[in-house]
Amino acid sequence: MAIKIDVITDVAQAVSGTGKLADKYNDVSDALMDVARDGDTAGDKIEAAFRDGAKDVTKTERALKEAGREGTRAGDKIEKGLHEGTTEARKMDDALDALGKSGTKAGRDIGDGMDKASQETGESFKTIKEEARSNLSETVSSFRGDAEDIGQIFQDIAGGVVADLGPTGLVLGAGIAAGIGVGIAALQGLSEQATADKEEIIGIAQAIREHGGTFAMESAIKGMDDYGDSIADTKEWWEIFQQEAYSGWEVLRDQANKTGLSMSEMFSGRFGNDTALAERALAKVEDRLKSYTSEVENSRRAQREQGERVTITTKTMEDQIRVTEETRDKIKDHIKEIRAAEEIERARREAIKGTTEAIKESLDAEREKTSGASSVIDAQQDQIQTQRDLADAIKEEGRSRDISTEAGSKQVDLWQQLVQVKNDEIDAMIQSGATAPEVASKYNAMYSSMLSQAQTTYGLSKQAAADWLTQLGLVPPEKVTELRVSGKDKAIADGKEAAKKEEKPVDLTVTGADGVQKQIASLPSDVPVHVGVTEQGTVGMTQAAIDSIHGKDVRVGATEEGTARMTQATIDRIRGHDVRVGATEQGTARQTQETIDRIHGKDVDIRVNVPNLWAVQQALDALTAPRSVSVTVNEVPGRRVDH
Amino acid sequence: MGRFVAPSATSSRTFRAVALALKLIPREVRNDINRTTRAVVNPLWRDAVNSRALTTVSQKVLAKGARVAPGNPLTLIAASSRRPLSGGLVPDAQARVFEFGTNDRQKVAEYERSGRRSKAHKVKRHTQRQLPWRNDKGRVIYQAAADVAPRITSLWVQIIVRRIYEAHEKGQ
Repeated sequence: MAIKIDVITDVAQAVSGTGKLADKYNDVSDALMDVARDGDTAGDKIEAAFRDGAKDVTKTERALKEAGREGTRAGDKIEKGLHEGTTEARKMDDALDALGKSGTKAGRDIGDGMDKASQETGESFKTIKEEARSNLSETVSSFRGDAEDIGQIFQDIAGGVVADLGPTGLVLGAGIAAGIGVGIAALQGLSEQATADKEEIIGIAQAIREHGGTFAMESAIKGMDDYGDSIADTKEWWEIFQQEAYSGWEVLRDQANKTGLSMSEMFSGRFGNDTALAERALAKVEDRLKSYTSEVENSRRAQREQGERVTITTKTMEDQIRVTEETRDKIKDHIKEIRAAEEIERARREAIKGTTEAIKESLDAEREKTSGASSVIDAQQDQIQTQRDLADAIKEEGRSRDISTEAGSKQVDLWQQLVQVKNDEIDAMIQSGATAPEVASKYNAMYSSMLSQAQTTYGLSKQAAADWLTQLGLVPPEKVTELRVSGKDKAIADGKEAAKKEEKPVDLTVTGADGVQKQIASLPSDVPVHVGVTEQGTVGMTQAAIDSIHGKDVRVGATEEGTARMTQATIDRIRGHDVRVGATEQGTARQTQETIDRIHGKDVDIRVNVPNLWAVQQALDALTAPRSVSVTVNEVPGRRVDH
Repeated sequence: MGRFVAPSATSSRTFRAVALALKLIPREVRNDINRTTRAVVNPLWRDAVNSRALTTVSQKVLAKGARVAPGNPLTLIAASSRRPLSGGLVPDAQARVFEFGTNDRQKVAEYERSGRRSKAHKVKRHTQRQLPWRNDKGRVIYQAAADVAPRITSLWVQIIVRRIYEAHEKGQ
């Protein structure tokens, strides 16, 4: 067993200890909301979890001591093995394995740990807090890094997801809360960023002052570079949080409400990288502005007519107009920024053309492309691992699917994981550009192997196993009606279409005239069929065969295996069809000529094998015109023998 | 040397929420979380293990097959290679003794052997010299986990939270 470390323990306990499934949604929602709401204190909380998680010193220490003793015993076993002069590696493995198993107890302090451990890990506790904070921005930027990938995946799978999410409490609670949390953390990250910027600028100023106020290029360039690096990533979506004093999420939500944009439009308008999307958002905002303005006009008119009663409405509208105008300006600014960034990027590309930097970029781009294939491998690795875990679980606890028992629950969990990683693999295949037939055949193979595994493991009927797999989240292959067609598939499909149009002849190999006729009948009438009749029996049989094939061209190949007379006789008696005669020169050229002379009215193909040019010339001279000659020279390497 | 601490999911609302959330969210979102986790956490974990695996033996036995298995909970895996080394040692099966060492490296064993040309005779050999000294905290993998588990755990929690949020946003 490989070494495996769970980053948190007691998951099963945590999950099972919360009553009915339905009750859990609120629980999760609340807790996730907390995580996010306490963006600034989330680090403290995670730290506390690590610290509180460590209570029972003696228990852990005992486990470690035991592990130590086990280790010694395992060592003894190895030794004993040697004593007995055994060469069986297996025993050695067992002994090492025993040692290994005890080792699982060592190394970590499980859940209910201790003060002592917290002293030892004091340092990591300190870092936990920092990590928890810095990771928030890391999380966001890591999505940025492969935004295209993830965006695509998400667009593919997230359509309608929310509708399926069940109680909206979970979705709304967790979602909005997460936004706030991420926002706050990003704000923190940015104030650090701002501090860093300030330092860089001070550095540049310092450099200028040191040089008596003259801007010496070489010393300033370094400073500018550093400054450039430090502001390089500020063109990020959370930029808003730098400008606004209160939570960026609230600002956004407010703006979205007042401008009538959806949150995603708001995001792409203000923080996205896509000019087109931003422009679309801008157009929408401008539209909205027009309609607001005309509404205000209308209500002003109404106000004039009806007095004070409509004042409040007008104020709200004016507020909406103000926010919409602000948003419009900000989106415009953002579009300018994107354009500027694009221009800078273009200039940069121009500048690095032909340099190693360009090579590096194209390498990175290539690597990005292959990452899909690499996730296939990851998914396969996970599968193998999960299968091993399942096998281990079954070996240790026996077969069970009863989720009220611990063993059964664990196994069902593993099955769920297995289904998940298999689905992952398919997703990854699709992502890496596999063709639809490839994906379909992989899916079918995967499904049937899972099905038979479920059947044999738990002694289920095929139907029961299939139902169970469906419950676990594996879609039966017959339900998979739509597979993504990549460019390659489309080309293949188009090719098939083209082949049909060209009406290519169809080659059939059927024995017996009846069989041939049946085959022909089964084909559409506009498909040309060439029937080749090989004369193997008598001429009469051949003719009968030909006569019995209706409505199609028949080509007869008469092979001169007997004498020329026999061949001629064959030809003469086959009526109404082309006959090609192949004369194989097996004797001399004269014999061949004689053969040919005695075949009337037909082309004769002659194949002559001769050892050298002179012989070729001789063979040709011996034949009477007209003739067409094609010579294929096969050179046979050898070595000269001197006598 | 640091000690790796795995907090209990029952010890914090956050962890409990994450564990539950992974159970409850739809498969698509969960898959996406797993995919992101794998992409983001794998390099962190591999780097951590590689930076701790300083000896050739550690590199060949312990650092082989370092990867993360996203799931509930996230699992850090190392020494998962099943390909035997040239001497026949299978990292997957025997890595633990290299991670945690032995209590008695000096141990000498006497055993009988016989060759093709010699009669059976007794020889004395050190049998555990190739193993490191006993270390309860682990030498490479658990040390690497102590280095990065807080970071990874925190990152994992945030990926889950953020992905759920994004699923929400996309569906809006």
